[in-house]
Amino acid sequence: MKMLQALLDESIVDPMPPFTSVDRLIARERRRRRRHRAGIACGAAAAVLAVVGAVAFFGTPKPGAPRLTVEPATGSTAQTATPSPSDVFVPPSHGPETDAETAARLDAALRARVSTVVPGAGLDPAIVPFVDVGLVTYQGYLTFSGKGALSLPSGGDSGIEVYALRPTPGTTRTDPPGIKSYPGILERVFGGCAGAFTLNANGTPVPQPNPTDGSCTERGGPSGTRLTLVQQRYGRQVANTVVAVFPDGSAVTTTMTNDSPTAPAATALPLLSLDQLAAIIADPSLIP
Amino acid sequence: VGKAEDDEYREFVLSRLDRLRRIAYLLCRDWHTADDLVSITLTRLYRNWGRARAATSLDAYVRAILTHAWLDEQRRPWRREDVTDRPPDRAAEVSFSGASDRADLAALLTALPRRQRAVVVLRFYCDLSVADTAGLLGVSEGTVKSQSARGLEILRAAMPDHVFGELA
Repeated sequence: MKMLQALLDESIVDPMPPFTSVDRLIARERRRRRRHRAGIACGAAAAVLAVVGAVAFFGTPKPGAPRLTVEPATGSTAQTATPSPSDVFVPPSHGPETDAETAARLDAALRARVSTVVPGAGLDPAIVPFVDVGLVTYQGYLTFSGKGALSLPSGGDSGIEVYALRPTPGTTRTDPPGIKSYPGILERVFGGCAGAFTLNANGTPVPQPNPTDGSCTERGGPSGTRLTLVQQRYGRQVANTVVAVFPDGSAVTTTMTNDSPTAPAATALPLLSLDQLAAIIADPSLIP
Repeated sequence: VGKAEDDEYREFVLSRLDRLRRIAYLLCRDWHTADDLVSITLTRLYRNWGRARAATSLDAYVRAILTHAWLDEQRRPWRREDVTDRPPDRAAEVSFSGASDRADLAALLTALPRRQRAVVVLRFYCDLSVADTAGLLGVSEGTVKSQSARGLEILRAAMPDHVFGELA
């Protein structure tokens, strides 16, 4: 066994110098924690002010007023609140930002959307900005992504990934080492059900799946979004994917699985349904 | 996490960084991905440092995060392997003609299915017991035994006998 161990060790050729800086990681995590605490405090204060202001301006809401609700996932213990996305697309307005500032803004916006749709849900470990953990990039688009696990107060967690894309015509972006771009990957975002099922990550045509392998629907959503809702099964893993394409050509996509780094295939379905995921991401605040 | 804990974390990570990268590389055979995995692992470790340092074996805890990070990455839809009409590479076709061909061992490892590869790396590179490997991967000991036997069979077919003499 020792011989095999030694051979495996020797088979590791040409190690690259590590770019993981422990000090940078610690500094980044400290900043993230400070932002998180400040966000909670500001969010709570803003919520209190908004409620006080609304009550003062409109008076007490009448019982029985219509509320927009989203159905909870089948077999899920997730509780759903009342998201209030606008029906009119209003592109986000903000000044010039650095990548870090955009990542922080998107992180806060995502947390706000999750809190609105699924009160009490946590993102743990927190979503990490794209610039720190590279996964996939989309050529011609300013891309940010994050991944982590969403947990519910009632227990359970599901892996979640979010990609936010904004077209950047006429510009190029230099991605850090290790970030991968696949030709055809854009079809999986903008190609609706056809793109979701007929192309793999490398843009290669694949056979249509057996109907039991998944389902896909397209429909209009709030803020003028075009939604694609996909559920696919890979053995015991079930992945719920929702893509929201905005009128300005931006897009946000999320995938939630029924497993997480700490709980492989712990539940039959992802904790959040396709409708809940759609309610979270179909909001212009998530556009980079 | 206070300054003392930061220092403790830094000291632990720096003493294990090289080893972690090597394990990650054996799992994925790509330095960029390996560094991604190590970065994810260290971030999760930092966020859970209070709980992690109380673990019975901190090294086992970190290996578990790393292995699950890799398996998790492999499950992502865009990481799935291409559909192809070509048959997969057969491990037995790779020749192993001595010390100069040690890189072939890593190639052979890459040809193993991901769970089998994880079992081989954890059992024979990290030197974990069957029980520890099973606990880390969340599978039964029987599964670990069968996966390591199959993995070794593939490696054995292409490597000199003396490498496996001690295992027989």
